[in-house]
Amino acid sequence: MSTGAPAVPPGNAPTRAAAVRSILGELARISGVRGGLLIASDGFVIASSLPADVAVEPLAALATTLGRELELGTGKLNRGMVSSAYFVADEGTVFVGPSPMGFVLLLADRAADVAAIRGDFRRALDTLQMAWRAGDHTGGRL
Amino acid sequence: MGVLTRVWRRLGRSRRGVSSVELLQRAERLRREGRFEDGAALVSDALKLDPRSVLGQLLAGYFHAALRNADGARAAFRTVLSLDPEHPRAMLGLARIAFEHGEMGPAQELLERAVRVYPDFPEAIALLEATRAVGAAPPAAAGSASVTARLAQIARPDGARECLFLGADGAVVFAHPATATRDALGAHLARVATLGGATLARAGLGPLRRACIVANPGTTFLVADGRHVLALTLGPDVAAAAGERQAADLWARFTAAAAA
Repeated sequence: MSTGAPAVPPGNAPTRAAAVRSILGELARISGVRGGLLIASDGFVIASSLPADVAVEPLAALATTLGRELELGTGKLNRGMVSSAYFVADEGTVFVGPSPMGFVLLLADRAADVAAIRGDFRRALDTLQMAWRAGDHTGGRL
Repeated sequence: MGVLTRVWRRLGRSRRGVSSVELLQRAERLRREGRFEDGAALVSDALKLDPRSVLGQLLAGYFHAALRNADGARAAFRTVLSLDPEHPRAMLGLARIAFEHGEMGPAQELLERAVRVYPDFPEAIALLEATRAVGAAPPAAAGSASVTARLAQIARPDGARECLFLGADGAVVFAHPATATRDALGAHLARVATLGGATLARAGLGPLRRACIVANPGTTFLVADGRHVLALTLGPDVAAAAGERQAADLWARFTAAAAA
């Protein structure tokens, strides 16, 4: 994730891409979050802020497959739409949620406040959706 | 179509003088920016100029997949394999779609082929491991009729909308309510647990202990230990800590009763 990208390019209205990257940059700065990924539904990594010791491509492949399983499973079983999910292990937590481009993944360390990150993550996913729709209405393009 | 137009197109150029290669390069840029509809349109134009472009067909598959059009993606990846039978990325694309449809055998076969062709292929290796894990999950304990009867006696939390206790392979040991879709739901939840565990492990965080899935009709709390999975669905607005506590309590009672 590009945390340094300006939300408003000089002399222009905010673009959809800048808004999306700004939101993702904010997520990566939450206390206890080690980094994140923005992944397309085909597994393509659009943006990453993961630490260097984490291999991005295989993690993205698994996260996308997990995201699609959540999305398709609930759909096929008529159980509504998944808005977010988290998975906890001894050494940390993975958050996964849908985005207009595909999926967002966050990695949090063991000491992270899962409940607080869950709230911030859900709000960020909502903001992503709004930013995307606003882009459609204003003609802002990525 | 005039002779000059036909010759021009044979050279891979549109009437505006843009070659199929240029169109595909632009499409790649749009893909990196998440502009999938616009990129797909450029790929479509490029494939009109050069229908046998392996890169074009591959990108078409990617864009279809990104736009959640599994049928379109499958057709494009198959076209790639008809042009280049050893193309590992087309195999990975097809394997993903097979996995999404619960076709674990074909998914595993495609991934094994992809890794044979291209052994240094981290995405395929990661997905192959997950596919094998789904297939290799230990089955639920035998004699489950008596276990089911014992589990049915255990009080479930107030406000519990649904409760499933599964083998790691997704076999339903206990379900309340006993809906017609419980077996499909069990298989889905077991795949979620396996994939969640694989994702955690790949991130270096260790095996899955618990999970929480928020959907609009309810929030499902999972507890897992590699042998069993508990899925407890509560209302959509339940606090995570409270839901996790209730799921952990129920898990302790269910696993004790299952082991008795």
